[in-house]
Amino acid sequence: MVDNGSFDDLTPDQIAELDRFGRAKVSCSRGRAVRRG
Amino acid sequence: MLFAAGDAKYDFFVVVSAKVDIIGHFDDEDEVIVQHGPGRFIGELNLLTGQRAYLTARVAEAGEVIAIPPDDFRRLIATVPTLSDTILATLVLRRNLLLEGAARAVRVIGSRYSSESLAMREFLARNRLPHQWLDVDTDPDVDRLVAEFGLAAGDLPVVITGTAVIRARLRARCPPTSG
Repeated sequence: MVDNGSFDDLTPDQIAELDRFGRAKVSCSRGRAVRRG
Repeated sequence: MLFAAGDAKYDFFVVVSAKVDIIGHFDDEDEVIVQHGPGRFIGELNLLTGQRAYLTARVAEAGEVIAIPPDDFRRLIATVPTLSDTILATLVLRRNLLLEGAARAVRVIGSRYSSESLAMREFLARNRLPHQWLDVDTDPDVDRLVAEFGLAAGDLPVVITGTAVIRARLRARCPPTSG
């Protein structure tokens, strides 16, 4: 497995900002993804 | 499945509460390259370059992700520097890691003396696409792969991805499927 370190961790503020651009929140389970937003 | 190797495009995903495996399909087996959990995002440089996905993102633990379609993702990168700085730096670092970690996702088989082999390798290297070079004259894996894919000597050089075998003689250069 590639060691990604933690360079790609997002802060809660960044996640909230990204959420503004998301057209959908997706509930995902093994093998499928269901859009809710 | 959030996206699969070979998909022409896919959304950028932010993991809120799930766990997602990034998987390479090598030698008829799935190999987990990395697992992303809450606070991580799912995507690779091909989100911006338009190359096809060469890895698969599969949900390992159910949860919630934010899906950002490709056009909105490009708009985000262009207009929100506080996010784009972090995301772009990460995408470049990931590609650097994948150049080695996912090289087997795209394999080039040919002779080092073939100009078509050279053109394929130059195309992949110029576009910084992870790939593995197998020299037909020296690499012990070549015979097995050639037999496995039903190739003849006249078919070489070829590019083998998780979803396709591309013969140089049929195309002047590698198509987008190689990404």
